Amino acid sequence: MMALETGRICIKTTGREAGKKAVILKLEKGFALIDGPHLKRRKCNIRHLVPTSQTIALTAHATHEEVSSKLSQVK
Amino acid sequence: MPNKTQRTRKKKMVRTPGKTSRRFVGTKARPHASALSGRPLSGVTHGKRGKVNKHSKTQKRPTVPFGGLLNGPDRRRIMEQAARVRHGFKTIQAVNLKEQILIQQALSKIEE
Repeated sequence: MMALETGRICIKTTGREAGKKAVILKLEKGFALIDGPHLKRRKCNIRHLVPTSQTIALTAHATHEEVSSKLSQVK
Repeated sequence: MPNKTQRTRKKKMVRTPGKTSRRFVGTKARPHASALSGRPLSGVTHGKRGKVNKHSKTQKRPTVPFGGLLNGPDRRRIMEQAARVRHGFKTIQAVNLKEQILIQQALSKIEE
């Protein structure tokens, strides 16, 4: 299983946004700040994320538009 | 056997100042159960017939994938398995047969 780190692309498994792609922007103890084209930027429990094998270069200060455009370019 | 609508309802004895009278009380529907585990679903509208019809559309509408079909833990497990299958960490043949049908439906909800 892939490690959770900043820039790792994950799939959200719970909530209304289940099945949507997200990027980890910041990691805290047990929680991750995530954002994505079809998500709101918010804190999420890491147990509710399934990491994929892809990462993108991002910082925690990236805007929602930057995150959405970078994610849409990744296949 | 009488029709469901014509069945005698439950009897409830009520004490009044003059006497103890008998009243008929409608039955309340049990909560719906998960299709996988059979455990009750939480957050799903259920109640006496007629009262559920008076709820608003938004109260009777699902808010999550597989809403009204699976409970929280089952839904999490299915979405996790589907995400792993979609991204190549697992094959669908390795999944429990009972869950395969639901995982195939969930694959359309997982973004590539």
